[in-house]
Amino acid sequence: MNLLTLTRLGGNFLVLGAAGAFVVSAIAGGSVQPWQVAVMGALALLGGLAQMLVSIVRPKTIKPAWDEQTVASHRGSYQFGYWAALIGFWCLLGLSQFAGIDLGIAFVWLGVILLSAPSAWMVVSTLLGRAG
Amino acid sequence: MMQLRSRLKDYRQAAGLTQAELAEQIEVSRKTINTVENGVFVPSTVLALKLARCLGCTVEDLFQLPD
Repeated sequence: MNLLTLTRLGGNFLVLGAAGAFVVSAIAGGSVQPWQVAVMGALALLGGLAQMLVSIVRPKTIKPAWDEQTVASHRGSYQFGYWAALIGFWCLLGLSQFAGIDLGIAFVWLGVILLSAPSAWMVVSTLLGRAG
Repeated sequence: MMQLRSRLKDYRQAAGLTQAELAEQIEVSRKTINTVENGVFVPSTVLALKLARCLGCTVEDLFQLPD
């Protein structure tokens, strides 16, 4: 696994780790706050920045790390993210209407889904050998 | 359902190359070579042509449609 692939994997793991921490926190009695989603966004941006730096320092890592199989997996992550967000939206809307969940809280949870779904897909793809 | 039958592994081994060496020559990841060999990933025309050129054979030598 080359450095750029590792960097990308690490960034995605960080985003998923943050999402997992917020879920655990919410189950333990708290609730997801907007600042926590902002942290996830910041981690995603940092991951992107790290990948850009690695690409500049080690340009030979770019082509293998972004070969056509990885590009296909990356496209799959967007498709998965779309469906996760769509299903999440309808579930959260239903919960807000029939289970009394605050719309603001539901919106924040949608942010967690939007940020973590593509990362989850890429992590699984990489571990299954479908992304270099 | 397998979309493509691959003989890439046979030709690669005949050329004395590891998956990593072949991957480095055509600038893809070793994992991609592995999934193409196993029929899990169907390569693009460009990638298939690069593989054939690198191994000194034709695309039809490397890949066939399943009967």
